[in-house]
Amino acid sequence: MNPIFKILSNLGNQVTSRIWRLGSATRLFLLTLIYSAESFKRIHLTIREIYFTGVMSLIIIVVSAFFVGMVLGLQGYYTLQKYGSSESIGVLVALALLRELGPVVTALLFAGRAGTAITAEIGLMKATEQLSAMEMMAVSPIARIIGPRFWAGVISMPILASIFSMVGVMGGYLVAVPIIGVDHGAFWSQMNVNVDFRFDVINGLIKSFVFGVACTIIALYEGYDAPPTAEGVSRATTRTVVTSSLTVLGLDFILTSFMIAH
Amino acid sequence: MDKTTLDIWVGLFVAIGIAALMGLAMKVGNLTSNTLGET
Repeated sequence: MNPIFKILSNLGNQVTSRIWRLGSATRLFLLTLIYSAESFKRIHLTIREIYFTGVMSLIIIVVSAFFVGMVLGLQGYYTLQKYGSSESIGVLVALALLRELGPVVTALLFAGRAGTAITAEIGLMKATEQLSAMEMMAVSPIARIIGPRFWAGVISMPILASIFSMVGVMGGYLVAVPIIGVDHGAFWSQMNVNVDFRFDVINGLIKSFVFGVACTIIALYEGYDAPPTAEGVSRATTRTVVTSSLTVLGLDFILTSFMIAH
Repeated sequence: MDKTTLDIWVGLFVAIGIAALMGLAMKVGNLTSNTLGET
């Protein structure tokens, strides 16, 4: 084959494959929504998954948030000091965490901590034919396996993002007020004046909800679609982190531009 | 892990999340009754 045709053919194959995977993931998402009522009939399954995805991610979220807040406090202070507005450190820390870092870093950590676990678990279930066995017994794997994990991820993400932002603000406070010596009243009052509940807090929650849907459905799809081999599961787990991270960053830009425009 | 322990952990997790959100709303976002009223 002519090399130019070969390159074009490879490119076309890549694009077709990507579109096919996107369609397949969308189909899984819609099926999950359709089977949601059936999934919620066994609410204990969703509660169990909230424990594994949400509660078990708490430590990494809290520790990361604390350090991110402390770094923001330190970096922000030294930058603001040059302009003589070191009292605005509280605003900087709060806005950075509420609008961007809270939802985005939580989603990235969630993809690494819980997303990989979901993919590996479902991939192994598929490799050991547990999903096929369920179908043989007329039990829908979407309702029984996918649905509870999906809703657990969607519920956990905004909770984790809220905790991240709050702990981050505390970390920023710890560095700015007791360590650097910024005035306690100035720290909180500047924050109160400049942070808007609807625009900053609610928009951050909306972002984390969207990231929760995206990260969880990617993790579920990669596991559900993984080739039933050890190598297939390992590749699917890697793809989960890469795809989730890129999707979160891309969605963040789109959501931010929509939120700023309105 | 038995069901009750699991429920307690998840309940605690949700409660911490709500407390964090309330903290963000009240302490950071200054959402108090006087900011909700007409100006």
